[in-house]
Amino acid sequence: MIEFRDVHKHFGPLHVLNGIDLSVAEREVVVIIGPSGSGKSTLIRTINGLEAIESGTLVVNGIAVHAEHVDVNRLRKDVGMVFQSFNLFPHLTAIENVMLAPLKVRKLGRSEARDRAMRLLEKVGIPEKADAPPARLSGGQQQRVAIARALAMEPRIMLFDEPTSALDAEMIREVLDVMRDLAREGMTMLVVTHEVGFAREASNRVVFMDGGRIIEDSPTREFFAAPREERAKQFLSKVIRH
Amino acid sequence: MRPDTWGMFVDPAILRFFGQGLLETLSIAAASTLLSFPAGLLFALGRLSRRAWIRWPSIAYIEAIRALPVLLLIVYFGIKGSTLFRPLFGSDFDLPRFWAGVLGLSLYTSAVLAEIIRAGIVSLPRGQAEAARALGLSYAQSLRHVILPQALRLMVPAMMGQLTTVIKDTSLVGTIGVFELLRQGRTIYTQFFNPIEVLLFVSLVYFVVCFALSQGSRRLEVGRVPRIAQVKVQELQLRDQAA
Repeated sequence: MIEFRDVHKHFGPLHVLNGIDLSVAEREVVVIIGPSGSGKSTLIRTINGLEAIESGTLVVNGIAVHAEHVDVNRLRKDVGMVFQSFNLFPHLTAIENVMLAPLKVRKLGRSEARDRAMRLLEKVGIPEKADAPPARLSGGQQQRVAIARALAMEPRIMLFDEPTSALDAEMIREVLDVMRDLAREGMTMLVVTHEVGFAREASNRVVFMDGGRIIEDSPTREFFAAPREERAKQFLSKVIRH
Repeated sequence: MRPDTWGMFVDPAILRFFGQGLLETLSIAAASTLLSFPAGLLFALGRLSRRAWIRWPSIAYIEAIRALPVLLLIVYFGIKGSTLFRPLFGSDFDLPRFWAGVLGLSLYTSAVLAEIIRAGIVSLPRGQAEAARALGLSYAQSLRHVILPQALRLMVPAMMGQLTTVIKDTSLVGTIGVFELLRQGRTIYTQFFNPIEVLLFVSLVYFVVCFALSQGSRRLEVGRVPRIAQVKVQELQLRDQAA
């Protein structure tokens, strides 16, 4: 479903993606971990074309993302994304945030979009906040609205870019619960996170990145039982101790 | 100042004369604002465009026009306006002075508004545009539904400030023979030989109109915009004023 072949990218002198090979199958949940600056976020942002790649190929859902004249918007309809800083639209209410893309991109009718948005807000557990502006929601609630907003497009792939890093401890759980449910339902997910607990329970595979490279790519159980690579071992011991 | 020259300001005929001037002033300001807003929006978007052939002409327009005195632009259209439009409207076309003034003011104001609008857009957190694009909204859709509604709210104070500037700058249009407020005042004091009294009176009228506007703009709902963006847009304005 997602296929990276020898993908490279630089930010100035920084080789942020250095020969990435990675494939993700349908219904797989892949957690990407690694020290900050290792290229994790950049990696998942290339999948929906928020970051361009310089060389190599990247095929998502049958679309060669970085080929010339590719319709990125068509691709983005099927790839949902959740950001670290939520990025809800502050001038719209929670439910309007969820309705916007179905109305404008999928061209759904208003009542249909509203029903769908309401169902999703129920799914993420905050139907009572439907008419509240984002500023009146807690961080955890905002992130759950953001997840509902991404799901409203009925994506086939969901990308999570450190979805809990901006949250207080008590709110992290409510967001991870929603993500766990989603994983259980068979959504294809790529999750950049430091939440080792979530990785352990909900993911099929763990990808460890450092310095723009994928250092290790193992089934979750194997990875946590005994990471093959020294750098992964060190990183893991630090994360878990903390 | 002579005490006997104040009596005229209660004369209905004189007041009507000033009233006509004020009406002309407000009409010029309104027409200029209405013309320059869409133009300013276009040039702001042009300057933000990724396409160089759109971006560079927009930058050139904005920077060149902002560097010219408004009076020069007004006088230019006052003198050349008619000939300029003759290829379009026929060889006997005569550009009314009112519109010559409006064009001069609009040209300048559109360049200033373009910068205000651009400041509003770039001060929004980058995540807003990214979130919109990630949902599959096109560039135009994300502008229309996500970026501009927020940016325009941020810009309300700066735009109202510009509107008061436009109102004051209408006084320059008097130089090409449009009878706006200040020009009406001149007509009166050259007849009654009381320039100080008339100028004081005219100042008071400008003050009342502009002060009411700036007070009104403070009460306008700035809306739900991230505070960080509000701060940034203020910084941009201050930098602009300093420059």
